[in-house]
Amino acid sequence: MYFYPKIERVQSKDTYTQMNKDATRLLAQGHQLNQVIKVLLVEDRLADARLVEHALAAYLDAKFETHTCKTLLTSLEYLNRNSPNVIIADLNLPDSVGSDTFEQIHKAAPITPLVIMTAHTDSRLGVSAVDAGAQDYLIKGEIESQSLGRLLLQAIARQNLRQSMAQHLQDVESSRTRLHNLVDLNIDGILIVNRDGKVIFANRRSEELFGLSHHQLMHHTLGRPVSDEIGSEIAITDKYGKVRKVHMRSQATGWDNDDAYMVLLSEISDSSRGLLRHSANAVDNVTGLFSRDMFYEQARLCLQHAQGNNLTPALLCVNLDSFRRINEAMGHVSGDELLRLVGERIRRQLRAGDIIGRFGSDEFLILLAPLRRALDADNVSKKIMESLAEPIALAQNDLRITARTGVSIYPQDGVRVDELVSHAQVASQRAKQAAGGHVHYYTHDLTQRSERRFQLEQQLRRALPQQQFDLAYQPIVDVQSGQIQGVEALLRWRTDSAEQIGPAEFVPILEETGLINGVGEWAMRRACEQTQQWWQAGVELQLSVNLSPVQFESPRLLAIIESALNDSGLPAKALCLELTESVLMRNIEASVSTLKALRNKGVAVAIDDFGTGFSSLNYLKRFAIDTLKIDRSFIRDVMLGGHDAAITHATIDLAHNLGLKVVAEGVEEPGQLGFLKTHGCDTYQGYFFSRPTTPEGILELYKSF
Amino acid sequence: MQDESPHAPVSVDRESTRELPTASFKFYLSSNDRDAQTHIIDSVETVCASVFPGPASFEVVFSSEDAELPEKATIMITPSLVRLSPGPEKRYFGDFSDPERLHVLLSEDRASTIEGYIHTDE
Repeated sequence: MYFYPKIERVQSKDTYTQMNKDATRLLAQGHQLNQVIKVLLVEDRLADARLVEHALAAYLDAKFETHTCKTLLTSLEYLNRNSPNVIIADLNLPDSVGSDTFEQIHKAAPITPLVIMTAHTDSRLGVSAVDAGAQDYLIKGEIESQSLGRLLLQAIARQNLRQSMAQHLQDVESSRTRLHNLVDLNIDGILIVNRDGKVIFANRRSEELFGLSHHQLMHHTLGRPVSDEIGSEIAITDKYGKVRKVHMRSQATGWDNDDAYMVLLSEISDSSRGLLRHSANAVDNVTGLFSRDMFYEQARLCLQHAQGNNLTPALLCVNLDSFRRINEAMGHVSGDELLRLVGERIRRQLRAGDIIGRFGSDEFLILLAPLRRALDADNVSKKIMESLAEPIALAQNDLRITARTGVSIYPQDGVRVDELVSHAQVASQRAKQAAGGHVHYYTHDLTQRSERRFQLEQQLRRALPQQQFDLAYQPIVDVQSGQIQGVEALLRWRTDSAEQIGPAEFVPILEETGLINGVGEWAMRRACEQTQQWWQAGVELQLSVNLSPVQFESPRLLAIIESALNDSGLPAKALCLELTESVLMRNIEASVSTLKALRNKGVAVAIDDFGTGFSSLNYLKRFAIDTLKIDRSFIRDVMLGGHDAAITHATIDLAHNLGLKVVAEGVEEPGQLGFLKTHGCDTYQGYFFSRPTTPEGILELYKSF
Repeated sequence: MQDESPHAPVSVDRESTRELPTASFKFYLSSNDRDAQTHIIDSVETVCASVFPGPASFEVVFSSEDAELPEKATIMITPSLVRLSPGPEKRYFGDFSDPERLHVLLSEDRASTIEGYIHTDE
């Protein structure tokens, strides 16, 4: 029995003919070059696998080399290391069934043609796989050498054609962008008028020369140009009555299959020179979008038109999350390519007349020009975010990025470009902090918060040189004996105005500004010096110091710790670094390696706020850690005997089984301590024993025991 | 003949001798350096008369920066020539120093203009 490829369902007749030609060409090429076609066969049933292998071996027009995997896992591992030309997969495997199998294989090798093999009774699975991106499907029992070989060659040819079409489309799009920029950023006005003199195309410079919006200019009839390409001087009177001297050249051309004239307008007056000067910097070299200066210039014109026309332009500020990390991990070339692709995706969501530019490294600004309702801004923002949520193919990786958008609306949020930009930036910053909210609208309240943040940032920049930071120490106490075992060093800030600002407010600013590096290093040194003084006085306490994500990921971390220990003389075993789960989970491999290096130095590590992050017990055993600190939120209600008690109990047992010590945080009542005693918790800290105090206070508490 | 006031339109009417539809033109110019533009006005008027012989009106309008002419909103480029009749309205702009080019354009448009206008010279 012959198997006829069921291509008609997904391809038109013409395409099918083309595919056959391509398959034939590939076939001929394969024959000429004696090309070996690598096939990954995913099939758990030996008999079915043999059938396919024999059918391919018997095919004469090309040479197939088959590698068979019996499970999804082994096939994914194979695809991780190899690049077959085509994959044949049975979707029902011992470790995965149906569409899940298809999705996993397709995800692992998105550009490799995939042919599904199904049982006769299950052909619907094959059809749905083809709909989802598979090249074709085979029905077991209907496999014959010639048709199978041809089907695989056709699948490869089709995939190659798709790839080249995708590349072609990308080339066309890039070319379109370049052309668009060339025309739209041109220092000369460029108009196309039809035979009746009606304006049918106008670039931005023309809009500026006539003082009209794109929409208005497109409704004007200027007339047919009577001068030829040699050029002449004319005067343009804009809608405000201002006259500009302009050098005009015109040329007959075609437009949409009709006769038309292209009119070039170069301003002669002095004001054009400023534009000429900065036009060299008009385009961002990486993305081809407007630079900062050009964006401001164009946005200013746009706001001018909006004024009096009852239009409400909206300004969007789109920031990419984690761009810095991607740039560091994949290199600047890939980083630049990512920015270009992102700029391109955003641009595709915009309409004619919208303006887009790139500001900071990962900041895109968009002015949505002709909005009549604020809701339009919402729609466009959502479309942009959706387009960016799609995986981006970069350096043979499928990269998933997240972004956030801040929106400010003219005129309610500002009437000048700089006001709208700054307010959209504030809103974007807010979107970053808000859980789950990727689009955030500006409100006046945000400015107040932003102003406070700005003021605090300025003060914090002066705080370290002006020695405004200090450390407080909270005792960590043995649950059974009540003796102080150690202390946790906590950062305090004495501001100029003596205002009490807690670490919860100022530490995030230190982290965002990078000031945490300097402050963290100071704190580490100061705490080690103090602890060494205690040791010299015979009070051998273990010092716990918190590390922020920025510090933990710093390449200087080990050097700083080593230097703090050496300079103070404190033994490494007296130091414990506290990290949150989320810090460790950001880059697991890097965390494993850093923790190992710390352990080699003899420094202990504790996981802080355990239970509040994305804990993965699986990773606990991989991380070289010594202590778990149970978060205060579990301890608070531990006496009520509900879930919190159960979790605390379980965490203590889990930690002990893994050979870890347990510290309970936030102990404020004797009943809580009693619970911890009963369940064998090692140490605790909290107001019940002592608030954070001075070094002298610690000595007194130690001696009073 | 031209009025000395920079805002006042100047009309150069030609006598109608035959009962044909009147061709009507307005020629908009910048107000500065009027003398230098005299020969352009003559040249354009001559071309208009040659393409549309017969009764005609040819009006020259000088605009200036502060001019409050009703046409200001629509005449955005000077020099501009507007053929008001025969309709539909046609406009031309740019450098009018080449009479042959203007002649070609006006003739093309005349050929495609409304029915009923009969040119007796052809």
